[in-house]
Amino acid sequence: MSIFQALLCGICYYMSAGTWLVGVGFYTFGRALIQGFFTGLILGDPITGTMVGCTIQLIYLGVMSTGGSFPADQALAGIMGTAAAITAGLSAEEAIAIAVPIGLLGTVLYNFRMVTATAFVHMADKYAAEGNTRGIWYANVVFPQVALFLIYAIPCTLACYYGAPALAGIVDSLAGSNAIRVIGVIGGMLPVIGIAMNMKAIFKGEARLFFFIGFLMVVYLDFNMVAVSLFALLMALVYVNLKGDGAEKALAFAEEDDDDE
Amino acid sequence: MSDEIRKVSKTALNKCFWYWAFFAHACYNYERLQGTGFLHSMCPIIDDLYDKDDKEGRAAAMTRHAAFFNTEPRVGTAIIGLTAAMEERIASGEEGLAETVTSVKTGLMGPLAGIGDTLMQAILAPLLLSIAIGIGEGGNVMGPVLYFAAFIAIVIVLHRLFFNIGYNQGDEGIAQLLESGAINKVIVGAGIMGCTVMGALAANYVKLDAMVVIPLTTGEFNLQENFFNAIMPRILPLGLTLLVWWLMDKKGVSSTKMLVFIVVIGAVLGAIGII
Repeated sequence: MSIFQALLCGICYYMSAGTWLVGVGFYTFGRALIQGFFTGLILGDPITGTMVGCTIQLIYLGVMSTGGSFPADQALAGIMGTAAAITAGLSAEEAIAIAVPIGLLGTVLYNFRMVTATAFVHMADKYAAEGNTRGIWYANVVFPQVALFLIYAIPCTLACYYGAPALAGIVDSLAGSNAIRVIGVIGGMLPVIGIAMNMKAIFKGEARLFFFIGFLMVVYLDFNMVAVSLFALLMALVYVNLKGDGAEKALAFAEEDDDDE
Repeated sequence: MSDEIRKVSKTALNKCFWYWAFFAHACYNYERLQGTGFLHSMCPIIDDLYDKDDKEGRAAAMTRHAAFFNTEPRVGTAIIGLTAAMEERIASGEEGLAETVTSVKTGLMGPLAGIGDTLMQAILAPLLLSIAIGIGEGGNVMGPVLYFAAFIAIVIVLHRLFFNIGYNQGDEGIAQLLESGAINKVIVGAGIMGCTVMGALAANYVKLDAMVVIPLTTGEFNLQENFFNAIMPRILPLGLTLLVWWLMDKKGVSSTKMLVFIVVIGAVLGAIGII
């Protein structure tokens, strides 16, 4: 990987928290799938990038970041996992061995950003007391985004340039050993985390039945995800129409939460 | 609404809308979260309502919107629209409103965040990602590309929809929305879709096979093929998924702990060749 390619990866990583895409960097560049695709594009292999991105994305499928919390950094996991996979020819499952620890490390950068940005709050207070609306451009957008770019893009660029080949080298040196088979086994189990995390939010009331319907659609009918989604949409419409105004009572989302913690 | 209320220009209203859509999280931080983002979105409104020389009026308006604020940015746009409408009334001289606007904001940000986070993070993102993974797993770049385009389009529509509700219908409009069954119906229906898709994902992508083979005098007994597959193919991934969900939801195991558990258990069982 050239330093220029590493820098582009760093910019993609900045975009995951940056503010420029109608504020949805979090849902676009902030997803392992999208970072897998872009990292692949930068390295000249968007097809492998997409495949690796899909595999890593499953682990983080149901991640919820609420009230300023940030449990795992799937963007950095997606970039580093894909970069290592493409530069060293690792399989998607082997890339997980790199992506998962990186995803935990990335939250350090998020916390650092959230703490340093408080400096600009006091700048905004000063402009507010002066009635200076133009100043808020600097306090809310220009300075915080420059700081964010430095905090995110530089470590990611360096990690891609120096770290990805080194990490890939470690995994590559295990080739053919039982360790690689075990990494594959673990990688095969890990999507359960992303699925269970999303189930925590939606697997409630009568909706639970539909989880099993979806499962059987794949096991016995061999439906692909698009087909499952279309049937799911129709089943949801039928259910809500039949239940009428009783639909929300039937599932009682809020009441079901009382046994949490 | 009397016609004495000063209305802001359409340009100012649009600026307010887009500033929020783009910059709500531009200065996200632990002290005020979206506080400065909220203030920024109110700046075009304040510029429109107060003269350049009215330093006091501008400072008062800006200071009241510099406070702590946090909600789900899409559904929460209703609060931006509502506050813009309230600022119009404050600038028109309505008594006492300047004091209550903050409590209206903070009163609504929690409930709207609850709905918004459920819609966006628990339903929309996992659902669209699941479809994108289904398309992209074999390397089809249309998976990520379609997800990317669809998400941005949906987000802009949601922003606009909720902004208009807040600005045109006020806090009563938002309260009505919260109480009416419409949003609940959407959440219930989308929850059903989400559950179906999660079931399909568990069947497709969670991989767990028993590798135990017991030699018998009449041949061999393969635990996976002769036992588990005979009951139902992929029954082990189903069991694992339900077990992990139960541990995380009912036993309060965090996702990071769960991750470590699975890595350790997978390593041990994998190393001795059971899975």
